[in-house]
Amino acid sequence: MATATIEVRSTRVSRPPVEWRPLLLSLPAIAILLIMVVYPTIFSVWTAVHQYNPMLPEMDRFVGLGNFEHAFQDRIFLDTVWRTAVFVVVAVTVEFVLGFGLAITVFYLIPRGSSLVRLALTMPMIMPPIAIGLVWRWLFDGQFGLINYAMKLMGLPPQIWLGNTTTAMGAVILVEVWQWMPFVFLCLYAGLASLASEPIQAARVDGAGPLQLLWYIVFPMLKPIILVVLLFRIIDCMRVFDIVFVLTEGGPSNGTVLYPFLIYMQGFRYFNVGYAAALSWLLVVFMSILAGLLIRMLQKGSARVA
Amino acid sequence: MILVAQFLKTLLSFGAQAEVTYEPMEPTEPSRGKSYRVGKGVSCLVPFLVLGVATWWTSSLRAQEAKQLNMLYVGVEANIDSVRDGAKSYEEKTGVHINIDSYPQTEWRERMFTEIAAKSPHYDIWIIDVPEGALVANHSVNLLDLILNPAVVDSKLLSPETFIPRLIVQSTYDPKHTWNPPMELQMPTYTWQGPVSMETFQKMKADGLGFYGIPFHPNVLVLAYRKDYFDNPDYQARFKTKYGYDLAPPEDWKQFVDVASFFTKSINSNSPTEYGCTLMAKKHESLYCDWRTWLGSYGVFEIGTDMVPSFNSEKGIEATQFYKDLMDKYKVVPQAAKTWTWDEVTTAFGSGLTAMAMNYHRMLLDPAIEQKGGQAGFAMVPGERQADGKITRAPHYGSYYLALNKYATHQQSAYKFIEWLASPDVQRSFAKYQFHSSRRDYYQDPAVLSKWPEYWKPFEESLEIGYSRPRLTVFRQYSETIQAEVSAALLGNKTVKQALDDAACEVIDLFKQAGYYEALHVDPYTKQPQCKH
Repeated sequence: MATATIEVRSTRVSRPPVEWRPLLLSLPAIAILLIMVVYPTIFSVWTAVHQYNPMLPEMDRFVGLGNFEHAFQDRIFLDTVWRTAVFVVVAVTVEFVLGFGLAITVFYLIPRGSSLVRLALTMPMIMPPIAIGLVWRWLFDGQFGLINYAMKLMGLPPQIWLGNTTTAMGAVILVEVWQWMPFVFLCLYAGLASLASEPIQAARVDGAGPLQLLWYIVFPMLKPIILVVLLFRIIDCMRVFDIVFVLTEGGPSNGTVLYPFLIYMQGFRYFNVGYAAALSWLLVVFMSILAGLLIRMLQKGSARVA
Repeated sequence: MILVAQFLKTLLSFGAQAEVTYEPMEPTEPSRGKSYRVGKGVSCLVPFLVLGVATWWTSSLRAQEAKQLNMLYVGVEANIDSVRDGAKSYEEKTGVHINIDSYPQTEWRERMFTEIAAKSPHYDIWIIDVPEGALVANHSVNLLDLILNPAVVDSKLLSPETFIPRLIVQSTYDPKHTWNPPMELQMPTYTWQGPVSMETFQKMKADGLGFYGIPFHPNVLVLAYRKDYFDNPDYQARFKTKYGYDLAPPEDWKQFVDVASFFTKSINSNSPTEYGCTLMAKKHESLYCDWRTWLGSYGVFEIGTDMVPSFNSEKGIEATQFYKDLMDKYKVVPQAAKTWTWDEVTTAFGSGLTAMAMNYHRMLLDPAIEQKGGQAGFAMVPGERQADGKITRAPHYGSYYLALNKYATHQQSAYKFIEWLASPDVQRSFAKYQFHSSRRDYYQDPAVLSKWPEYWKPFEESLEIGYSRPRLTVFRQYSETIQAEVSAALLGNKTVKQALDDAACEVIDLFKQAGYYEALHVDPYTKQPQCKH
């Protein structure tokens, strides 16, 4: 006798199974992101709108935009913004002019010795900024410094390089340029090496001289690389801290206090953490605007080249 | 590791269970129903419970035994070598290991700040620089609770009567508001003359004061000079001919200028040194400390009891102008001193550049100079001679103290260690490291005086009359405001009066924000009307 088998099907509508495993596996990364990025960001926003000094919790209170308002009334802050702007403009301009000039010279005039020059110029970049600051501090010393010693040998009057507001700022710029001009040089040198040779040869055939070649052919073709280099250097210069910390500690008077050093002073020396957070956010906003403008210029330049 | 692995396994099995719930085609076995899921949930909690119990058990055990104490210390500024030596001896004696983390002053401060911000119990003991005390006091243990507990204190080790009394005042605070001007003004009679005794601590407790640390390794400004030149008969004769009195370490500022001029080559071509003296005039804490030595000698306390600045008074301006004149008018100090701190001053004196220099430790000459007969002598820093002939000296001094972390667990064990470390006998044993003791008897001890007696005498005398910094919750900002303005005056960017007036106004703004005037019901603009805006 044959038996009939009846298959009983469930009447429940089956839902797609939830995939827990991928979520669990990415949990450590998410946790790290939350702990290291998201939480500090939210906390720094919270801090920026509070008068917050962890050493004096009884003084903590919500101040809204008070810290930002205070910044724009603070003479030291306004002086520092101006000083930082001067520093960035001068340092980046000098770095660019020297780096570009050196890249052109080495690439076109001494191609055989270029590896040696590149090696020599890489040295300052790989040195720790603290060591650089200490070495230059002794070089600039008004009594025992090698620079003044050399000047004496040449019959020039010695200078108190770090004891005068103008020369101290000049010294900070010089050290910054000494360390980072090679970066500009290397980037532009690599850019020159990657340029197509046909337009240059065509221009030569048409009778273009070296300066015309440089201005009308090489410079426009290098423009995207130049903008990237400038973007990096401007952002880096706005973040300079270590050289100032070791070389001058912001002195003489407040003559070399740059923006990051001001944030450090407010946050870690004075424990005005709320105010320091507000200053940091102002810097972030300003740098974002500047970076946005440069990237836009870069995109426009790329579109034109295309 | 096993617990973590088990925890992860349980979490993963939870995920697997969720899949089972949505799998109707393969119904779960009846025995693996609701009770199974509850069982899984409980098993997930087990690791947490185990971890919690383990943590509680471990911490209670630590509280009982205190086999190790953690100490946050500075470096050479407070003679770390002696403390390491002391910690080793203490471990041999008691079996308690002292783990010392030492940092240079700036890093120590930042480390301290992060520890306190996190209310971390890690460090049992902190060394505190007095001006920082106003910020740290309410995070430290009030030692009166331990000192006045007979079951804890060992009065022989504590030996309060041997402390230099003014150092005791340095770690005494009113917990309600820890800020105040120099203690000389705030508490002119309180334990000032001493001697300190257990009754002093009882009185402090009755008056609602807090005692937050045992004084340890004070530093005071002492004048170093080239003894070989000062004792040289030829120089002595020349000096007497020129100035009409004997060549000796200067007592007052007039003599200081004479002696410094005599030893400055551009003024006296026969001088064996390039400059007469040097200063620490970089925009740095050292400049602030230097400046207040001059200010104090002119009888000016920088802040009044009402917390209104007084450093821009006529005398304050005169004192600052004199400090500047040493570089620019008398030219007895190298211009490079405007970029120097205590480190460069040590180098300048050690290398033989100057005949005199002032610093907070016993400065040495380079071995090459010593081999040629070079000798360093020490004396008190000069002062301003008054109309009655008395000299007002105000060498800047700073003191450290050993404090206990309020958030740490081993407070009694930590107290026992610092009481022992700061005890007279132990401090005496540190003499070989040139330790600066907080005890009076140390400086009378023949064993201590047998080595470097020429240094200890002026050191102790200076300590007894030294001029301490105000204790402020905004101390660093206050100090750096003054540094920046005095530095501007030294550079000639501002006149001395303008710089000090600007500094006074900035300090008033700062103190106002810190709430000092509100707490004292003081209108600072009555005394400083130019600051009202």
